[in-house]
Amino acid sequence: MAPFIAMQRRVFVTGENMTTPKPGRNDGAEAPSRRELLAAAAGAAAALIIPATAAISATAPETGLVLHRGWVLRADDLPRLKRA
Amino acid sequence: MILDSEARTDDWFAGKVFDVCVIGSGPAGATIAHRLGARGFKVALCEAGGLLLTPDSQDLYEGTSTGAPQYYDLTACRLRYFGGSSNHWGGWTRPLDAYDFEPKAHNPLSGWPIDRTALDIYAGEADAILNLPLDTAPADFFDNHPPELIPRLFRFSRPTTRFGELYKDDFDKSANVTVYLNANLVDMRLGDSLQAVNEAVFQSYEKPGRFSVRARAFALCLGGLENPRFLLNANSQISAGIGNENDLVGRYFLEHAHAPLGRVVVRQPLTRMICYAPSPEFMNEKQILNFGLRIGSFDQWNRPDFTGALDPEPACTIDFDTLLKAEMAGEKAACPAMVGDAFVACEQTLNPDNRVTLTDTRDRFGLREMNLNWTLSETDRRTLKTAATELAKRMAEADVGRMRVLPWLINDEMPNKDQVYGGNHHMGTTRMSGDPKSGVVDADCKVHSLANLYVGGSSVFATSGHANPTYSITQLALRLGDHLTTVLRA
Repeated sequence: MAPFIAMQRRVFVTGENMTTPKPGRNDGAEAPSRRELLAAAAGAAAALIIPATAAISATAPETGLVLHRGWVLRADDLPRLKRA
Repeated sequence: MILDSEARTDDWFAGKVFDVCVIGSGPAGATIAHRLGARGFKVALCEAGGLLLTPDSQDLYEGTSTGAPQYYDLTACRLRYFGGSSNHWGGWTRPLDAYDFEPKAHNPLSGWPIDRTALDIYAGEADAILNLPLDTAPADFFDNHPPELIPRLFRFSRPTTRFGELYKDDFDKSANVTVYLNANLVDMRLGDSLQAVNEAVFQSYEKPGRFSVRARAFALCLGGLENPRFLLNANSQISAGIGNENDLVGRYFLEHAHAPLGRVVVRQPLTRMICYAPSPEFMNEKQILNFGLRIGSFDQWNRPDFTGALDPEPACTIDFDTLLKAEMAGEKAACPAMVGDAFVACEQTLNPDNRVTLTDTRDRFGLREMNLNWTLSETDRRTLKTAATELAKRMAEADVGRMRVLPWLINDEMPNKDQVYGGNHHMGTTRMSGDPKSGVVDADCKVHSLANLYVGGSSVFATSGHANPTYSITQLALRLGDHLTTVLRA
């Protein structure tokens, strides 16, 4: 039989869904994926700058977006941010 | 009147036939019992637990789970006492969308035998029961939102309705509703022709022996996992279990696949959580199902007092590019109101292998425990990925902000339990259908093969949409109360 106090603690977490992970656990600040590590190891720091439409959706008609380390950016973002 | 079945005597049920025996006092059961009692019907409301949580009762939720991502501990994702799982409900509500009721070619068996208008007429009553604010226009951070993404509103039950607390005094004073606490359903006895339920059989924890409640109609409202578990266990007269002639009880289990999608940096401060759902045309084009995107602050919307408004922040004097550059570098947000989280809850494909089955382990009353198998289909994963990428693209195109999509979504990796998880929404296991070959209950929530057994709660959902289920559960319970009123008066 489960200890009563532990059980109360377990089932009385509130929020949208009472047993979802703690805030911040999945906030996007994760370790890089294997693919990112491989890209970095190849010495291509910017290797993940590829057309976003190709990476995200092969059928998307949009142009002018790029994918950079998971960020979906406009093509002129990176040069501008580099200057900022 | 509220009675403890541990204190029962032989004369409690002798010669008594209730109009309705409602089993389970969560949102569905309590609502049905209250409605029928107010209309003069004699109701037995049988609750397996007491007025408070006890280990004796909660431990009866033990079971196992299989599949991936791993599902929650089955004793932690629901509550087995008066008021049921409403006792830890988070209070998020919205109705199902009208197109959730329609069949979709890329989700075989989808479609309900009713449309949304059948539930809309109960919206006002559901709003009042659930303490909801007025239904207002949803927030939108696009000047002209793309046709693919439709703004949606969530409303929050505040103070959050706990159905036991809501109805306890009424039940206590009622001459028509008798609540029997500590009454664990262990069997149902059918008539000789096996076409109707004569009595429901119960057992309490301490007092030896079983007792039976006879009624003209029965409403099974044990929750989306226990409804099928009981029906499968009830095999003393029908070997496959009650209502399981077509091997459907327990199948088509549905959850809402919840997933953090990534971080956002926006140009205008977020003052409210913003939500989007896909248009029907977009769902068809991409062969995906419904989803509810949320943009805001993860730590704020998981607070139990969250109402949709985000905490006000001092005016941000830092320009967008500086904020974006900092976030891209993984630095802590200097203006939290302009940096937030994107999250989604997705509808799942109807999959007969996502199901409740029985194991060989028996509980203290001799009923077999359950195994829950839960998996994500390719369509489910496509829906999750499309939600993330569509939002990211539309934000950048409209220049309202930028979004980082989590790597597993971009790389098409199989998610783990920290990346995709359920919402503790247990649906579909006695699904509604006009055809007994594709559903357990009919449009009136009556078990197809029995004349007087009804099912309440989210197990009757034919599909789940993306909306949190309590609102629809309440509407369906009010509707079932009306249907039983008509049947019992005939």
